Amino acid sequence: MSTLYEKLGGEAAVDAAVDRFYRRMMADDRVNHFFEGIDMERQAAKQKAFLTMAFGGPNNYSDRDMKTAHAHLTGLNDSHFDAVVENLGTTLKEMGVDDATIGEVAAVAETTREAVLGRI
Amino acid sequence: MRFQGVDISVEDGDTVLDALERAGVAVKRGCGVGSCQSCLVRGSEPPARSQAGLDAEVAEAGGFLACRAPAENVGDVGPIDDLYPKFEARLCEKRWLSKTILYLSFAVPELRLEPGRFVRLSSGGIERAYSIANHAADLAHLNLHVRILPEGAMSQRICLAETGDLFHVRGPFGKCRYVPEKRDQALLFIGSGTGLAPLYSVATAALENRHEAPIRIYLGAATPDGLYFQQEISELQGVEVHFCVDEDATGATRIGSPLDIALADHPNLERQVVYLCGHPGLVRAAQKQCFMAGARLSEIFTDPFEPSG
Repeated sequence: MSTLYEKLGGEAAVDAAVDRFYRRMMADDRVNHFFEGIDMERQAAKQKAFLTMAFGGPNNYSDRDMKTAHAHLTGLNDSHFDAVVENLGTTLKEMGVDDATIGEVAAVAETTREAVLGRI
Repeated sequence: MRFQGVDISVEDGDTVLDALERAGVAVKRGCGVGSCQSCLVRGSEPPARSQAGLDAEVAEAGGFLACRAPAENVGDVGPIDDLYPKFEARLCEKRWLSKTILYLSFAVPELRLEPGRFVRLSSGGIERAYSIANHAADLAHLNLHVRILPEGAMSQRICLAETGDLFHVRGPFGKCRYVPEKRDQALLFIGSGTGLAPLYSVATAALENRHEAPIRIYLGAATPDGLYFQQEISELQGVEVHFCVDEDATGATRIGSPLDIALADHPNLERQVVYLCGHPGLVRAAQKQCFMAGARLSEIFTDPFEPSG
């Protein structure tokens, strides 16, 4: 039985997804104001770390990291988190990933919601 | 843990980055997971896992990522600047390329000259970054294009300099360079001012490497007067060059920003390798727009020139 990360294609899949995902986020008026004026390469590195985690890959994110990293984003709420999960799903669909696997990825991403929104 | 010879207190589970931050050392925290290389420092005994993804020469010289190394058993830690030795650079040629831009050529036998990357030039306690401007087929001396700013401390030093004067350089720094593995991908260069220097250097490196796809350069200035080196760059065989200015009565150039004109000519940048050099505002806007137009972020090389005189 292969892991979710193996099933998706490991680091190569993350690399293939990160540009598409980031581009989608920057084009999305619901969330793109959070990305104004930031260092794009550094942000892409964070997106890669996030996708690796959501794909079930090796990561060392803690709830505390997630909370601190998003604490400065004024007005961040559930609707923004939903938009991110939606963009993640659309990116994977575009890459030909099946719905069941997309559901698994969304479920992993979902485990960070409370920390990202500072509720724990 | 020791930083530049000073003991730093460490708490359980600290990374080197955690310990440095707590001690008030100015070190950049980026992704925190070893991807972005913002927190690169130097150590006498860096653990292997903190060197993943680094250039071989940087790893060999003791460079490691502070976020990926436990603060124990790393030996003496220091800033990345110490990784690069200072070389003596003797000025051997100096002439004006335009009203405000000087061409300088230095003899620096020890320096590894890599088209597109930059060096830090210093004299009398002043240090400034300049891009390597060499044609890739002529790497005998270090050639620079320096914009002279009326109030600039380094500008004044350079204006007074005579051939034979001794400067120092460190480097090369920066990620902007030709990648031979991408020789079948079109290259798009967008720049302004002395951003021309690294663009020219990388374009010549592409030619020397027998690049197989189109090479296009879009250069901008406010007026035709602001352009320089036009003949040298127009003479590059196999390179398409567009000079772009805000206003031009002669009609010899295209009107508009080099970014807008390049994107109008090439709205889809998928699989194109993009180089952006010059005015920081132009470079940042261009990075975003080129990414949105389909270029991969890892295939957009940026070199914003922050003016410091």
